[in-house]
Amino acid sequence: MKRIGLMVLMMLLVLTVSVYAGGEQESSEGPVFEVSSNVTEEGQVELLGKLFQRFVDEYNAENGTNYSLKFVSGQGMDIINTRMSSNNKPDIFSIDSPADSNEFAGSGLLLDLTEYAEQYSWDETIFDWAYSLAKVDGDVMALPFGYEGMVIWYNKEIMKELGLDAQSIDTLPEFEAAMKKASEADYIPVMLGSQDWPWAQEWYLSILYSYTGRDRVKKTIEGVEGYAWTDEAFAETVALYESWHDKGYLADGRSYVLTSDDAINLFTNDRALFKLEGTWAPYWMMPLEEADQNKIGVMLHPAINDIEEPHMPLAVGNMWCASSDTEHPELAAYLLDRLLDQDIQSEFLDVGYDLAPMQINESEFEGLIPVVEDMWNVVNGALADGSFGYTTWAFYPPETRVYLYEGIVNVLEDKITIDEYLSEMQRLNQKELEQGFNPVIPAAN
Amino acid sequence: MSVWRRLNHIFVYSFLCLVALLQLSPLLATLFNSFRSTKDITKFPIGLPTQYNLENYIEAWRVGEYTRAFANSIIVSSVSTISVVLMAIIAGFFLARSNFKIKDYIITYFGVALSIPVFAFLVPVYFSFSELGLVDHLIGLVLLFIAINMPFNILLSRTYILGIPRELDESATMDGCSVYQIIWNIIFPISKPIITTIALIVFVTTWNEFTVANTFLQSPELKTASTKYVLFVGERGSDLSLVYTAGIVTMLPIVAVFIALQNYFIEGMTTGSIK
Amino acid sequence: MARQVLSNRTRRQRLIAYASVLPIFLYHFILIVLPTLNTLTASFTNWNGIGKKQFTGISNYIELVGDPNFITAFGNNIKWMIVFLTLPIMLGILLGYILSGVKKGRLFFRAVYFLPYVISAAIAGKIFAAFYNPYFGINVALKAFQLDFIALDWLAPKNALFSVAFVDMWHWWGFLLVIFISALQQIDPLLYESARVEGASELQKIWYITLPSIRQTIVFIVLITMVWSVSTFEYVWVMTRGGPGSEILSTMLYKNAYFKYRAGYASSIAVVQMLVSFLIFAGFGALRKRMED
Repeated sequence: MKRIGLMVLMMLLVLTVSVYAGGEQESSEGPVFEVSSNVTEEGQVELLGKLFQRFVDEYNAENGTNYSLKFVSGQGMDIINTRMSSNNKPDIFSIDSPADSNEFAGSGLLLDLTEYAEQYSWDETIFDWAYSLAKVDGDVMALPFGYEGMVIWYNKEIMKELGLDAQSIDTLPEFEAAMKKASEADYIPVMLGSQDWPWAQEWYLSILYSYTGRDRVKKTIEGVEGYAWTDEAFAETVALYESWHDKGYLADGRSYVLTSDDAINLFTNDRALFKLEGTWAPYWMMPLEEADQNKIGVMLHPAINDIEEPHMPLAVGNMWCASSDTEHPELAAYLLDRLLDQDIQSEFLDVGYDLAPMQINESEFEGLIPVVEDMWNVVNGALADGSFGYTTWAFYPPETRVYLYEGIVNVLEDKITIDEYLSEMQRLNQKELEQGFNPVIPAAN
Repeated sequence: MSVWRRLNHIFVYSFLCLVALLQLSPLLATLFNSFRSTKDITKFPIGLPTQYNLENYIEAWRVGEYTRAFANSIIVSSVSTISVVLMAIIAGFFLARSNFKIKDYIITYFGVALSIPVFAFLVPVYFSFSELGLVDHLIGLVLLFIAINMPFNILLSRTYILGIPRELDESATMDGCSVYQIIWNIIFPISKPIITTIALIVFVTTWNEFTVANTFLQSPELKTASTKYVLFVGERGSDLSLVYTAGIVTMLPIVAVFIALQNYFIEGMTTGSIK
Repeated sequence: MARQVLSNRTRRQRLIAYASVLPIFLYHFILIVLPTLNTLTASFTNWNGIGKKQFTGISNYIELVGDPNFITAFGNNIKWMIVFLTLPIMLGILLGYILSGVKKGRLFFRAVYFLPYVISAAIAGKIFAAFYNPYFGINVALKAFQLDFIALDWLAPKNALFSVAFVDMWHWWGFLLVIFISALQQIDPLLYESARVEGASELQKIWYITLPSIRQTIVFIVLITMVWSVSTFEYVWVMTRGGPGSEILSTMLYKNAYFKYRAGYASSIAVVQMLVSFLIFAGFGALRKRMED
């Protein structure tokens, strides 16, 4: 009996402790406002937590309120989805793409920010193309944040060794010649790993489809008469991609066997000439040693036909939204607007987080490591031109998009034909349009 | 005869050692790699470390905020374990011994309950718990863990108790013991092997569980060790040595607990229960 | 007089039994089964996971049957089941038998074999994924030692499922071992004594005494192996995200629920998983009935 008594006592003790180990804060401090972010990297978590705390404090000071902040991180779409279908919703949160915010808005889960957008003049600050992504039926439903684009990185030393010049690789023949040379010298021409991150396949397809013809992509997604995924142009593009895979140009034929970390490691260990990744890549470049950093160069992907010049398929990296259930809409809008402050943009850069999609003072770009500075030059240059392309995750309908990067592997594996793949994409696209998907695709210049 | 015995002995032990080596080699490789630098690892995947610096460990511990995470994991796992053990022995006993009408239905129920995948109830339970304020709270997680681990361990305990001869409790009943006295004074001591087993299983399962814990705990200060590891590695995955180091750091406490638990309970283990 | 006391006693005992077991049963029922009914109803809708549900009848199930993804995934679960019904169980019994026979070092070996079970799926998955890496993994070492033929393309689609299953097996069979040891130790040593006296060989002892004595445990293990093979998730998700060659029912469910906004469809997959498990369980029940007759 004594033993049981002891056990019961222990249980009671642990139970009491765990009761106090709850996550709710006592209401001796003011109302709690919860911010949920999807960042996982330590530096980014710290910065965002610090910034939001500062904003809340300043809001409290200005308005005589006493909100206390609860900041949680590492919440990806699966967690957000679960939370938003329950009663434990965060007040503001970040989600992955405009397609997601469309879905959420369609289910009535987002706070209509239109009046705040007017109050804070967002239409004047934010890039037009980004701003249009935030609107659903003309109402502003989210704050687009972070612009990322698809570029291609290369190893400067291997370039030199092969006698190539990055600046002069602009067309398809030049690109394929470079890849052939790399392959013959026993290097992997283009590195890409999608084993643990299947979305990596869509990085490349974003570029290739965008390069097939931006206007074409826009009309196809919108379901315009006479345009379909099954068109010859797309079939040619997929065939091109498949040919690269078959020749071993694409990650030695194992782009879906290698993980994204493998791809990074192989590239930084001088085994590959090109690495396909977007403008978020600095997050793994910054921890490298200086000598390794300086080996990396960046450029826009070469053209694949005569239709499009090299350009940068764009995406918004994040959509910051407010829950329609929030009890503190003013604070929510205030916090979102503060993310657009000029002077914090350089802090975002330092930790490799996204930047606000607006014109940013050049001074914020100073003090960056060379390769990152190069990248922003490429990016800002492309944006200044006003020409950009369409990434899959920002602009395509969700199911079509998932099939895009899952199905392509079956094509590469010769399990389905290109026609079957494209037909399925067309079918899904049509289905989603019928079920109410609303494409928001600003026209490219 | 004795030579044959000796040879048999050697053969058996060599086999056991070989299997042990195979089981441990991935862990040993991980341990060694945690001390090597990423550059070395990319050059050759396994090998002995050239130096033993603990920087990586301190870094991994700090970044992962492991102290708090371990405290959380200990609370969650301990409470779950004790609860499930108690329920398993009690339910296991009655389902093995007693003869009440719905007994068979309940046994079948728990068997069928094993076939319910986590995703069948994850989201609805999250919804209900959020109404009750049980999300983002260690208690909510514990309650769910207990429910998840009940069926298997109750059935396991029942199977074991079926193997305990009835004469024991029958003689106790003759002596005038009440049912619960029988459970505490006879069944419990004899069931040490299965109690250890169940305790180990529940503790380890709840410690390592990721999917449910990640969904039900939001606040960073509540997160358990397994959740921390996944997030940590997700971001720094390309730094191979850090991946291995973080693995060791996350593993070490549970391995230590395991070694401690098993020694403590197995002390008096004897073969056969007639004694 | 005596009979009266006895029946009162049995009634009291029965009451105690009810009072003890019912709360436990209800706890589980309310927490797990009721929410599951929610998922069941969701499978008949086109729920996107966050908004309102719209009743669509059995359209999800019809789509499921024609979905090539589903058929592939289901097949992979069957393959997984077959793998786990053979190697780990045999290893568990074999080593359980050997270990319950040795005196010295039993605890040590038991601990060593059980150790991988203590490692979480996330860690083991990450570590083995690193080992499986074609450029930085063990293949490099194997080639250096002239063992090229073992250096397969581990995570290539045709090998992926088995490579992941291997990791789960490494982790799992120690668990079975512990359960089997527990069962083996319940066998009355007198049975072995009398067999030895009668001059039975080692194999005969195993066949006629050991295996029949742990029959119930073996059946139990086979049952849960089959049932849990249907809903296995973590190892595949951590190592390949259900990529080509290794898509299983749970990963397909997860993707549909959380990335494709098709929670209704995902629910139907969950229901199918439960149905299959029920059938397996019912099959065992019927088998047991026939064996007892």
